[in-house]
Amino acid sequence: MISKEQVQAIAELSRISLTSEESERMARELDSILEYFAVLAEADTEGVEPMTHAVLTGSDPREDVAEPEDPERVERMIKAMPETERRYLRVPGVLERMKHD
Amino acid sequence: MIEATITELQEALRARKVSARELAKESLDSMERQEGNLHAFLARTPELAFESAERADQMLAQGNAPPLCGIPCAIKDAILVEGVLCTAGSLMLENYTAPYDATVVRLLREQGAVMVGKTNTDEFGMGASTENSAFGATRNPRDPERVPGGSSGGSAAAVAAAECVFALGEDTGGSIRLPAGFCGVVGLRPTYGTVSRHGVISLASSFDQVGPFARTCRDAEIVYEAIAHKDPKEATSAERPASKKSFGLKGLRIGAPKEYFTEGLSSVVEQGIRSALGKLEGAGAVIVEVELPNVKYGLAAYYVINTSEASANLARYDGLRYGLHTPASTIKEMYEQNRSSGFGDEVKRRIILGTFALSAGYYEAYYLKAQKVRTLLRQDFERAFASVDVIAGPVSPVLPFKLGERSSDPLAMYLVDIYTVPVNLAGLPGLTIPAAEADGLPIGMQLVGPQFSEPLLFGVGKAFESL
Repeated sequence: MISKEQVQAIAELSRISLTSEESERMARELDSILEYFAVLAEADTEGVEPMTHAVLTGSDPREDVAEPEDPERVERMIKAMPETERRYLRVPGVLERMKHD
Repeated sequence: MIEATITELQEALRARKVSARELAKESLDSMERQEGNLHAFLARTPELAFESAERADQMLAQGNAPPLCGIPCAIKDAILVEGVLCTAGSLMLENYTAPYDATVVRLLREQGAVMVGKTNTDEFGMGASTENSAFGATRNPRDPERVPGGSSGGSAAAVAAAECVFALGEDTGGSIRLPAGFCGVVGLRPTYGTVSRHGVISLASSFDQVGPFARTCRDAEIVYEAIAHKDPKEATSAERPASKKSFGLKGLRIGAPKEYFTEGLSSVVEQGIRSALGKLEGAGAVIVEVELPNVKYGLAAYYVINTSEASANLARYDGLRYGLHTPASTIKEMYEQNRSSGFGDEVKRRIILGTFALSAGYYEAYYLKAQKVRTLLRQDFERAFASVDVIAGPVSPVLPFKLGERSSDPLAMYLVDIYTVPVNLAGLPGLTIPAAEADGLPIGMQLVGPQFSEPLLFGVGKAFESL
């Protein structure tokens, strides 16, 4: 039902790298799970609305107002970042890389 | 004293027969004695415990102590406690210090509860045994060869072994009810939305719900009342209706779902549950068979939705802002390095399965179909609750199993959740109570009611305890 190549392609989309043996094992395990999932096809869902969430009354968003955070807490969060430059999070370039791809 | 109930401890604390500091010490000593065998905790927090005990003793001296003041408790390591490591059982977050308190933790702090440590969990809540914790499994206090259930197995074991008085866990598909059943304690998965998820590490957002473990139903109820409050920081949190009604067993209609007593249920568990139902009947309850015809699709629907939501939720773990971080020359390499070495096997499996279930060409057959089945299941429960007050059945089809027995077969591990996941799909509350024993191992019974029926579930549980 699911091939080793499919597993590798999905893993790449999920930004997880698997060795060849890992993909093979994963394909075998997913196969048996997907075989179990096949029971879903037997359910008669003709005209049934999907239930997207457990809260049926709708969510209750708060006003979109910025609330001041404890400055010490903010400092701690910045300090916990792996790479920073001044108070900014530093990450490898994204756009520059795309030009070469 | 650490084995006493919250009510008994409240009295002793208020009468100054014991101090919060002494209780904290007793809890930490109990951990010191037992942790070598159990490994229920990923972190012990003596400093935090003594600090909050001191504050609790002050509150007690002032004479206005809330119900949980001075009571030692443990928190699942997927719930943020400011300044304390929060790993979710994953190498990805091995060095992650929580920058703020989860709302549930803030509520416990305000009551003066004393947090003694963070408990073990399957990585990101993905498992039924705690064997998927990156930091080693927890053992069942009733039999150390066996698993405590999962994912909140550390919390269940800590309460069962009297390392603390109560604990918080999180139930996505059974992660409170199953370990409660396996360890012989009480565990509540509240109605979806009644307890805030703010500051709780997400697995599957449409199922996740925080709830209490305790040794009696009354204790669990006290904790539930402390944490179940609408939270402006959580858009799906709801106001629970107030209830002062008391419930008796006389004339209470209890539904036993036909589908919960079929093949797959071990005969010892069935016997235990049937004898518990017999006790309830003897006390005046009316036991009726009910049908939940779509339960047979429940496990498949649950795992499709769980893996789909997890694949999206766990996309945040890229190692850029926090968590495991290994430098690389391109951003794609960095993502792949961090995620491949930070996540364990089960987490990778679920992310890949969920990504597959959501991908073009498969979305309708899996994700959309599962959501429609979810509607059918909710309707099954609604129909059942038109004729009964509460539903009762086994928590798990089997007794606590041995470490290693199911860990090499992912599907065999998923099947342990077969009786718990329908409740999460429908967004209902479920209460596990110790119902019987076989071969010295506990058998848990699950009580399920309509949304917001926690007072009824606790009422039935308390009545059962007194039989």
